[in-house]
Amino acid sequence: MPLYLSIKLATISTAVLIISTMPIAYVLARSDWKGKMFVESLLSLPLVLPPTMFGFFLLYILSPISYIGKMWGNAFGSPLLFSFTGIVLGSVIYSVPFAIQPMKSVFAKLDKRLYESASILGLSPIAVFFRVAIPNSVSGIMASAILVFLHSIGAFGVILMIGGSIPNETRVVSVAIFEAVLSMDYEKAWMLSAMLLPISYVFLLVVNKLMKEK
Amino acid sequence: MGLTVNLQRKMAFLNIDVSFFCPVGKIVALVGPSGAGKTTIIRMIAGLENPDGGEIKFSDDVHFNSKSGISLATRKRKLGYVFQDCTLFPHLTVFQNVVFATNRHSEAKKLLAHFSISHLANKRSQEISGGEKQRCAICQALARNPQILLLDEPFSALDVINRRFLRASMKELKRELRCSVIYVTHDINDALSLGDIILPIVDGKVEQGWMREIKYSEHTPMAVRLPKLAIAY
Repeated sequence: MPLYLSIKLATISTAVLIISTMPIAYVLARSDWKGKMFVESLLSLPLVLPPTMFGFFLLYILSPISYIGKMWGNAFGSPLLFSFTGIVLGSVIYSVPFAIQPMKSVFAKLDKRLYESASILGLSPIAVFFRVAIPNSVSGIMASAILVFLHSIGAFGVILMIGGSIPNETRVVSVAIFEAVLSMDYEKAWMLSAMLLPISYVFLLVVNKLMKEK
Repeated sequence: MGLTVNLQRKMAFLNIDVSFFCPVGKIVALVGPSGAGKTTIIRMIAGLENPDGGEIKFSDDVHFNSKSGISLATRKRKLGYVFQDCTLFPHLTVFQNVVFATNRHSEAKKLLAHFSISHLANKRSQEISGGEKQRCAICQALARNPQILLLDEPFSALDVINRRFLRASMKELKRELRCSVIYVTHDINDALSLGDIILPIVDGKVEQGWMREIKYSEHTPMAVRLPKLAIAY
């Protein structure tokens, strides 16, 4: 069950992140404006913050004492903290830079004249994004998706802080391994680790292949 | 009817200041050495770079006017543009590239036939040669039925055979052209073979006195037709 939860969490986080951050990565790659560096640094914060610290911030923001947590509770009747939805949200926010950076890089590397050519042929900026940028950046987008997936599947600190370890709800593989080690159930810890290792390795091989193609 | 260009731009290494008119159905060849500002001029006509001052208009449609602050987006200028190095969309086939921004499929088929690349219609752009790519790029630019066609040294990267073929194809097509064509080249032979009006560009300016309309004749030696240019280049 922890492995199933981890894969479910990683799949949903990846889908949400790739769709939502693709336009952001494109704008960051293709434009230059005042405050861009401020936004880029803000989006990269999860890279440098300790996961437990990041988790602590989210714990406060998503709790019923904060405005967001209260609004969520009123709208859906259940709190975000210690729920599967809560850990998806945490995982999404925590993986933002892993989604944006590879996509931004591939959009920026695309031949500038392809964008110019598309504009000359009468395409609007949105049409250029969908008809030129995305189809010619598939390998970068795939690499980005796999990195996010792997990052989400291995997330620990943030998940533990905002999700705890509720069986069938928030106890993902990384948390289950931690708990198994704490309770000195090394056999279970080995078994869970052995399941995660080949998945991560194969996906990393794919990322490397895609990056090489790019 | 035609394209009126009056542009000024100060750059670190060059001051561009050109004025000319290109009637519909005619080809203005901008000829000059590398670094003279020819490509920058057509990039400004396309709206890919902004001039500091001046006006660009096609008949009564103002594309750029520094005084009134008009600067029409590139996509609204009804252009065709062929780059020096081919810029076909790599994810599309030759035919998809040609009809990329138009639904004129029959026109696209005619153009492919005219440039002898009908048999490549279903091939991806990475699967064809440089000369074939450039033919495809010209078809793509013409398929939209542009008001202004900008050719930026389209033959310079090609071998002699492809260059001759494309020059001959363009010459044949010239009679049917319903647009103003600006053709940039550093090769005087290319300029003379295609251009109706030759504008020598030196240091960002038209060399006054050299501008003349060429009455093209296959039997007239180039040196007789345009002695100053023949000596200069």
